[in-house]
Amino acid sequence: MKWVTQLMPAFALVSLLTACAAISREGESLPAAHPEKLAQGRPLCSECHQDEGKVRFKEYASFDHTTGFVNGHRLAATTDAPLCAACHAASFCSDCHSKKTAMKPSLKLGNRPDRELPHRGEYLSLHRIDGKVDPASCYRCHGRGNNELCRTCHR
Amino acid sequence: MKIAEALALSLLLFPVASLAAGLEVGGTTILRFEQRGAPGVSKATLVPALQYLGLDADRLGNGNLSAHLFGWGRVDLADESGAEGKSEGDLSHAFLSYRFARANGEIKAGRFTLTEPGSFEYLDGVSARADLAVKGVSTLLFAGAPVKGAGESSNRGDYLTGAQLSYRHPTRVFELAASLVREGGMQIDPAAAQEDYRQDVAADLLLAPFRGAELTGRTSYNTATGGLSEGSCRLGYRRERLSVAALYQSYDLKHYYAASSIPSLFNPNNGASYAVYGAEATWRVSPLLEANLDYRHYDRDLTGTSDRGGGMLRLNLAERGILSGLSYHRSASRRDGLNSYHELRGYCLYDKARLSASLDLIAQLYDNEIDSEKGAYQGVASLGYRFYPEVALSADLSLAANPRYDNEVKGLLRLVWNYQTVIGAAK
Repeated sequence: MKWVTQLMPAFALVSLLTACAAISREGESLPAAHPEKLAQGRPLCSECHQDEGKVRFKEYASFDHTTGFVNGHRLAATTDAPLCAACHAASFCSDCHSKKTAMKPSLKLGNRPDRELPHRGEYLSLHRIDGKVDPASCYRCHGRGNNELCRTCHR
Repeated sequence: MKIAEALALSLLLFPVASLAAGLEVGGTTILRFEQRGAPGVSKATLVPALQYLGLDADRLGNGNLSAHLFGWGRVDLADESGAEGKSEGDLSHAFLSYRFARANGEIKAGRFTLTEPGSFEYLDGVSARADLAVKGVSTLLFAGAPVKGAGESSNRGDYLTGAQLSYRHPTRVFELAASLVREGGMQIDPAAAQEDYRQDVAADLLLAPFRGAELTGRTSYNTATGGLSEGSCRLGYRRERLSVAALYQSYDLKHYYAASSIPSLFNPNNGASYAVYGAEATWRVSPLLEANLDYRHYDRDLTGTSDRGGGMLRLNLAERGILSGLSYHRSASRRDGLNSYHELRGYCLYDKARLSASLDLIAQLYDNEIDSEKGAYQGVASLGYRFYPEVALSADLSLAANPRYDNEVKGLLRLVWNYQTVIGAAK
């Protein structure tokens, strides 16, 4: 796959030129913020938007914040980040995803037990088990940063 | 970043914020108290004081420009609580964003995060995104320097760049996104047979053949090591109140861990690979009640097979200000020496008008004792009062018993303030 490396600058240049020359002049951008305040708890987009067709060509129900959606929100973040940004400030993501954290998210947000936060309870004992069972899940957050505490034992 | 530097940057941005038509400034001040006692070890008393600060200034200039900042600083008032001394801080993001009225165009400059590559990338640089003239085609380009942390800079590169090109069919839901991330100029061990860059090429696919059904997949190839690092797919079906899904994931850790900054823990040379098979279902029994079941089977060559499964019930009485949940999960390992456990959790949150209160109880019960203990137990109670819509004070008390500590007492005082002139929903 060396050719991918060698072709990368050309790929970037072509993409940039293409983008500059061919930006769509149709269609308004998504609003910067959701126009109405949302109720407490996890929102179900389809409850209000059921008769409005689609957003970014997808059904509104695709973005209903069910437990399944929250646990697998990675896909939406990969392909629909501008839509996420209509309701979530970047600091919302920083509660869990950070190159460096001041404290465990569940400790910082101890008054929000309804939020899906990693490592609730006494996780230091459990990480010895979970880390052997599903190590890729550890790597996503601690593999390339946010691992100062890991280093105190894993030298 | 030093606390003083972060403060100076914050002060510089405040005059800019005064020009904004929509402004949201918020902070959380936390004073934490923790006492730890372990047999044979002297007690430690931790009293860290933390300040989180965020600023979002929208509609600057002609209305399309916005400025965003978020960071934190910590000072220990007693024993050391972190890994980097008695004080530390971090600037999580500080960027300007220019949004175009059409084509979802946006240019960002500064320190920000990107999620499109499928991994969180922390960047000091610029990014540009837009929908292209060919309907359904979007592009994102980014370039800059990867943000380096204080203690894990050894394998961060000099530059980080990449692109995403995606196509979404305007009427039938078919989506294909290709992304490329390259981080170059990394410092590597001269003795290691390793490239001085990381480069991931990924493809994301979404197919929705009929209403309610979605097949999604992702493949990631590490060109620096020449192998597939990750593959996953998920087949989901949603009908009215019920959604079900089956999923599959596979990882080749030789390629997945290749750019690890802590190889003593995430060692790519172990050469392990494993697969995950799973299923999940969510049933909205009523607008107030949601039930969720999930199951994963882990098939790992080094540690054998394991299963994790369980369920959760969530009650949402938002009109009364009550959110509650109850869950049970079981992690079972079929390999000698690897423990299994049950996890039970129940919580209740009341938040209405000026008062908020919550209780969160969690028990983790091990099949085999860990350090002569059969389980870990924790209870967290919180009580808060909102003096004004913008100012709330809350206090948490946490009591725990676990294999590490005979008793663990944690207290926390939290002052949250928020000033906004935003029209519409605050974020």
